[in-house]
Amino acid sequence: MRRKLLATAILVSLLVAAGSALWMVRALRRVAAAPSPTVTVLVNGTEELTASAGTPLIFTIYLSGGGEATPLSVGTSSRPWPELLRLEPADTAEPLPWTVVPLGPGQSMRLRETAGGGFEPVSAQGETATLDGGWLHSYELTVAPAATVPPGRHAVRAALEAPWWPPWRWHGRVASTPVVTVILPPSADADTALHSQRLVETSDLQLRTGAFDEALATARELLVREPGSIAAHVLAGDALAALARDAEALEAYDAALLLFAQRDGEMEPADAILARKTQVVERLAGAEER
Amino acid sequence: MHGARVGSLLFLLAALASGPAIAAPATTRTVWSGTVTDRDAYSGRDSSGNPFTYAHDIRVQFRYVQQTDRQGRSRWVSRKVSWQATGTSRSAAQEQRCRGSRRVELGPATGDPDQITGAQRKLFDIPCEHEDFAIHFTFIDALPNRVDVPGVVGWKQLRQDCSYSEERGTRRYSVSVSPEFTAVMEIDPREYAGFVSAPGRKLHVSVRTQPALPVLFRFEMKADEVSRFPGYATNAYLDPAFFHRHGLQHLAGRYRDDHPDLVFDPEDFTEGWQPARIDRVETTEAKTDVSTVVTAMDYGAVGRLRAYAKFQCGGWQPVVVRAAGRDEELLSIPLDRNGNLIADGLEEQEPAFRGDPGADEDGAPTGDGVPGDGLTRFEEYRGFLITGGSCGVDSWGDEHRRTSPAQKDLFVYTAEPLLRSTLPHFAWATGLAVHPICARHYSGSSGNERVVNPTLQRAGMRNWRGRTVSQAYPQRGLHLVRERLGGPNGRSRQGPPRRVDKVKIDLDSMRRAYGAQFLVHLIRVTTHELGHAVGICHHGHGNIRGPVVIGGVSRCPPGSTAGTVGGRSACRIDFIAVQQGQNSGMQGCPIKYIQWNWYLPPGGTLRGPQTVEFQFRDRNGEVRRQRLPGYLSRDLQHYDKRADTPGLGRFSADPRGTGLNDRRRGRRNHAGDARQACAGHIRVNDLRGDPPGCPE
Repeated sequence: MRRKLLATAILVSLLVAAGSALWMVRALRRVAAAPSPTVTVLVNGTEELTASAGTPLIFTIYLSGGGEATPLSVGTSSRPWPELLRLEPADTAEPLPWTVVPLGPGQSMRLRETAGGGFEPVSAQGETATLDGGWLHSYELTVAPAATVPPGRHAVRAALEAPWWPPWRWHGRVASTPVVTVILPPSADADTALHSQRLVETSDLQLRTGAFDEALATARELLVREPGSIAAHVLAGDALAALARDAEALEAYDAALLLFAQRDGEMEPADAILARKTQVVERLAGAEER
Repeated sequence: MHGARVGSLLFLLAALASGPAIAAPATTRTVWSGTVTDRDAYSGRDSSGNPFTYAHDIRVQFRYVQQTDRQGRSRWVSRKVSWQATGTSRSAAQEQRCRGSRRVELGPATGDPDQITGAQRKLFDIPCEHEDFAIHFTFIDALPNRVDVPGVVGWKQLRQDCSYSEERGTRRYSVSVSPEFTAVMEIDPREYAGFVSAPGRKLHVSVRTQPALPVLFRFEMKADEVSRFPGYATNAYLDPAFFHRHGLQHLAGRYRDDHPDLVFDPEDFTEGWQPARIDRVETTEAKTDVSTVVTAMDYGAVGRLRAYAKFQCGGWQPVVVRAAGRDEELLSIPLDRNGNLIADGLEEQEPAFRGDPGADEDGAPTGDGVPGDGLTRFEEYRGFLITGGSCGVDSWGDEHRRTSPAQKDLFVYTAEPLLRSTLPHFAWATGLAVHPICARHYSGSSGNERVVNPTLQRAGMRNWRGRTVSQAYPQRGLHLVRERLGGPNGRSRQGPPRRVDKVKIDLDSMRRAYGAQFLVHLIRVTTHELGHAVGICHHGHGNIRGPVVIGGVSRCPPGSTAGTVGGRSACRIDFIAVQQGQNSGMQGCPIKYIQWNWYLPPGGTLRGPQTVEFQFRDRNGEVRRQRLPGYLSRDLQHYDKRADTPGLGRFSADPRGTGLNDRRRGRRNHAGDARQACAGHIRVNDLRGDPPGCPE
């Protein structure tokens, strides 16, 4: 009886081992046959940026690729996919001379075909990035507050490096095309456009990181210099709305709309301000009802 | 001539003995082919001292076939002669002009081949005219009025290569002798019928002699018979990645853009071939059959392959091409029976490729009724490089796509993957074929010109071999960018693409404005703005963006600012949608404005505007004044924003309002029917003038 049990156990073990080996071989083949992942990086939404010193830099790294028939997976629970991405100088082997920090978790989105034939977006967050030709994963990094990017030309690329284990997942290294950032010396800040750009980007980043008071101060600094800046009013409104100062936010948005109405040749309305104003008005109305 | 008979027999036996073992035929045939030219020209003065000129040019080609039986008896079984003659002899007093040509088959003969009958002799008379200009008489040199039938020389007079030539006065005679054989080029009918040119794609052909005589073979693609289209696709020039992607690394640095589009790849011609030229290859040893390979270097490559065979005696003679059920002098590559420069293999799969290569008649979507997308059928056949995922520094990941001549195509470049991800939805919403490209895929490196068919356009190559391949003006693509706009979500001019510098989307602002709904609005806004870029207008006009002042109201609703105008109560409001304005029409249409603050119901009145001074207290209690447009109305209604879902449908083909704009809603009908169905504005063709502007 014991012999029989032992033989059965051995047989089952052998079958499991053979099945595992077969599964592993197929997984490895699938990984080998799949198109490599594609990595793209943009700095402040563009491929080439010229900015004055102190302008926040936000690097958006996109991860896509793979194929519908040969989907890949990148990242594990122990090493989520954003941890496999890094920024590096494109023209030296040295690490980046300034540290970067993430601006939130990695985001994943895709368009899903609807019953009517159109598309609707699907978004997700997770440790594993699926690459099947449809998913687009993004991860944002910014220069750490304490760090400064020195004036000069900086070519930066993003790289995805996945370790060989687990082997049934994609492993290897792919790098993006570099983005080029030219940081001008502080004296360039005298230029109105560059100065405004720095303050707009700064306020925007402060909003994103939850530094609402600082964002408001920066927006108001810009308003002192450029009272006609629609962007400054909108940023101020956003900071005020985030600080639950809705009545002031409404005033800021109304000021932006008044300035916008004086612009000539605008084919489209200021619907981005309208959407903000709607949220604030609804909150105010709700508060009034209460 | 007896010696020639014996000689030819010996010659044939020797020839057959040197080749592969084949059964001796009952009879053998020898071909004597040659030419006679007689040219002369001079001038001087005639007997009266007047100037005169004289010139004649006579050319004769002949091909005599001599058949010899086993007993050594020979006879001529065919004697073909063709001649052309011109001549002029002119003085001040008279002129003689002769001109004629003829092809003659003299038929069989048993004696000398130049023996002809009296009737046949007349076939060699050169028609002449004579004209006198004066009554006095002078002599001019008479032109020859007859062509002599060429004879053949004795076998012993032939040189080692079985040829003979002589020159006597103005007359040159040459003849060469070879056994009569036929060389036939054959090709696998399935391979030939399915061959569609693409870089690195190879077409195999084989040639053999009948009877199986060992000969030298030469394959040639003449310079004027093979295309040399700039680049290798409608929007792609040669670069290092081209060679790697198509397995042609060995040609990198050797093959240039101005080289022919069909070549003999040196890698295919090593042993047994003379050092290969890309336009001509030749065997080094006599063989009874040989195979060769033609390599395409362009997605639109088109050309002709000719082959020649040469026995050890005689010259090069053309090979008969046996393909597609016919005998021809040459092989058209690819198979193109209708001569439209487009491979029949593709026409079989996609009938829209049949027809004039210069036509631009894409019919779908119908749009504003202007057909085409600015690209000829040939350009669409030659195809385009599009992004294969990301726009890296080189074109490694690019993909090639032949576009349909039946569906209008639009090319969009964006560096922002998030914007690129919305393009499939725009394609579905319009019915256009939308192709994501990189900056390098339109008008070279700068991208400012945005020409998507630069290769033929820049070279000014509108025709090839009499067929139109590209139109008079270029077609442009769109540049979709992420940009801060300070108010609107997006911005674009009205298309067609030629008129649209950039389509701008304010991603950063939208992300903050819409929060969790960001992606839905991103798709809607990008589709909306790209819609403008292909000619689509809003559903109507007349909306009031504001801020404006409304008088005649008893109480200012939430979202408005209470104040006074001339001491009477008034409200400052904004975003008023009117009937048949921009918010009208089909609910799901992406061009429809959504979620405004107010609407004017059917039958409602809004009098104005008149500039007024609006006085109000701000949050701090301070009195502020603003000069604003003022209106009078008691009909304005609150807009139902929650019911006004973002339009993720198709551009509407029907102007009737649905959803919030449904007529059956009565006074709750927010904006009514559209003024026109917006899908009826779509135009991507840059070459047919400008569409009427959008009223705003």
